[in-house]
Amino acid sequence: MNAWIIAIVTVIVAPFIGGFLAGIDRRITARLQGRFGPPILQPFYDFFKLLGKSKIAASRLQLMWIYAYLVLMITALLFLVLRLDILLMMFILGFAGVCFALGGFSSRSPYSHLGANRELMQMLAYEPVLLFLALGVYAQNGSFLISQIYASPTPLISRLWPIFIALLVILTIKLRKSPFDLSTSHHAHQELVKGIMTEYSGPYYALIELTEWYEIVLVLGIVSLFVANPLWVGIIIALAAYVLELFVDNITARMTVGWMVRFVWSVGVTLCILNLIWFWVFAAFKGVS
Amino acid sequence: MAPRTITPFGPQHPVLPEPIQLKLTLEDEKVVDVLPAIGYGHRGIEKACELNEYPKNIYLCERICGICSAIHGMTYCDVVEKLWPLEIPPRAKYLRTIWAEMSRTHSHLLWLGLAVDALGFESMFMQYWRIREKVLDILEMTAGHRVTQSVAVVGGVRRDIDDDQKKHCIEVLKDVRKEAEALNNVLVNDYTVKARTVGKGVLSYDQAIALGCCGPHLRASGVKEDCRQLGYWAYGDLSFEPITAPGGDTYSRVAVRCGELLQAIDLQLEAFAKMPEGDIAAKPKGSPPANEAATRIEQPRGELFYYAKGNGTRNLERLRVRTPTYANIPSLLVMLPGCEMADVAIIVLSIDPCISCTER
Amino acid sequence: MSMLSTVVSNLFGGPATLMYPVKPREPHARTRGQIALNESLCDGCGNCARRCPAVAIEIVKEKKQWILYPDRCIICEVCADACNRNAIEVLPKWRTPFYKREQIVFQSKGGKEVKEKAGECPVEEV
Repeated sequence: MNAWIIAIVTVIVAPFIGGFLAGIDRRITARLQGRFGPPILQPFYDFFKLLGKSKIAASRLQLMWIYAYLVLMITALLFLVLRLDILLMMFILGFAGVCFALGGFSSRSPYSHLGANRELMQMLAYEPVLLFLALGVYAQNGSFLISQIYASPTPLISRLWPIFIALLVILTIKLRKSPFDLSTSHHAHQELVKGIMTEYSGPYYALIELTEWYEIVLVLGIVSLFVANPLWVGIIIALAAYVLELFVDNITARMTVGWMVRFVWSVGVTLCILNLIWFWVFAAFKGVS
Repeated sequence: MAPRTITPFGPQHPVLPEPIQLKLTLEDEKVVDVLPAIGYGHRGIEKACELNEYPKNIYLCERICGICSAIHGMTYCDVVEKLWPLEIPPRAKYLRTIWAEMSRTHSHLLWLGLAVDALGFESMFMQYWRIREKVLDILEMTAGHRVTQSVAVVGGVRRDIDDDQKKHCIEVLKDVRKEAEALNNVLVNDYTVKARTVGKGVLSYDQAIALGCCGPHLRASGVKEDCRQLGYWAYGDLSFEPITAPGGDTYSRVAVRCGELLQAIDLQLEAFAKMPEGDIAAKPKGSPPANEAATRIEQPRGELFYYAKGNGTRNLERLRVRTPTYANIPSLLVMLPGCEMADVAIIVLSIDPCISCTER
Repeated sequence: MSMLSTVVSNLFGGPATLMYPVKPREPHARTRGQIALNESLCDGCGNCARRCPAVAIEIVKEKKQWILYPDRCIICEVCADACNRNAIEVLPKWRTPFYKREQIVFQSKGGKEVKEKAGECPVEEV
């Protein structure tokens, strides 16, 4: 019963947090660029305005995929707040991403196709790190359950800090920030117009915005897992990571897809693997002694 | 062979707010072929110039281009003066030079902003445009308008820069130079910018000459050619040396424009220092005689060519304009094939296209 | 990475932009904003209408009217330069955008500025 209440509250509250964070993002970005920036509630104004536009879809299939994207994203978020299995959560998150990419592929626009291609490349870059994160959680706690992370006295970051660094790189991709705002672009101009989102408009585009607000909350939630005990430290770390991303966004140009995959695989995945190897070797020695 | 897609780049595209279409044939993200289509912005200005009386054309010619409008107006006046021929007072020459270089300053700042914006570097874009505002402000102060300055008139210029304005201009320009130099250093040394521009869209020395390129685009391939070397207006008196870069890639084009930006400010400061006193306009006598004239002026984007034919009446028989972008578009066909889709935006921008100029 | 110092100084230096409609920008003295006629000085010679490159000025001699079509006017200041009696002045403040094509009629001999809405501007042969 209690779980139901938490789930309902999460589904209602998360988009408000996400939209608010998006508003703060636009405000801070504007200040970093020497502008005033829009009101903090601007994302909500945009959202409601989009809802009022006429419903036009390039194909019905793409609607199915974005509804799936939204539902799966909410499911993944529920896995986090209900403290269920982190491995399954990562796969659901991956499935949500695939749905989004398929939505891009289901119209005939070349920009949408190229954007969806890039979205898949982005997934190729970030999925391994997320899976290694789940593995790292298992290595430390002996369980994939998120509730174990909260129960454990040692925070994840104490032993999984290389994975945490890799996760910060992934955060840039997930939040679609420069240098990795490849498949779509939130602020700057894009060689693919709006990439994967080119063919969405009106209320359907609003759905994507909504999903992204859930996504912001989810990825920041994953970051906060690293110091789960006490939770407020984790939340502060997550918000700090968010602000860090804004700075990174403003001091770099957009890179190319190839560069992103090379960078994430060479730096991120290597960090993860080294972390896990070190962990298991350490554990083996401990077991022997 | 990978399946090929034909992707339209433009005429409505957020990276390039200009009506040009490039039909890109892509293999995955690799460009294998490109077909430019122009003609979306034709306004019939050349024909309209034949129908107007000659002094009215200045304002029409200024509207050929939004960014270098002052230079278009002055070039028109220059070519009409050559019909008599009419010698303009020395102070007018200096004033034209100053306004032309101010246009170049703000045009290059605009371009640098757009170029980094095409790379997704939004904060630097804002920073460049922030500096550009100051230049636009002194343009408004001296000429009366930020963009369409309307300062040229056949025989000279319409407005004078008095001492107070001169002092203020020099102050602002020194300030702009300092800020622009600092930002240029950031730009040319930034890792991400280098990664996106070095070796992209290479145009060799020979290709640049064979394709008839002009302007900073040509100089970035190592060719030391600049119309300002002809010494028109006050350029003969100023210490001017074209800036070149050897690479021929997008990075060199960025570097050349960074250099020219600072050089343009230096030229203005020098011209302010050397500017003589005197009249600002000579009065043309009667209508332009039946004669032909052509002139070449260096615009921010390259060589601007005007040809005029008079027939003794107040109207011109023919006016022909050739703008630098028209000369630079063919080089896209060499630079684009083989590059990635991600680099198309910056390579197209690196010729500093002004399509509304090109099509008039 | 030295862009970092720029963005940090921007963050603490405050915005460089103006909140435009709330805080309007002061135009310079020489700014060409809009043109207006001093009716008491105008003698209806027609120099301005003849020189205007945009055909934005019309003079109706019978009614002693000086008519400006503001949507055509490019504010080049040629009319003001051409006027022998300095009857045309250039104001530094820009006109606000307008929804309908209108003509501003200046009636000579102390007539006040009258605004008439004209559905369509008469198109003249150029």
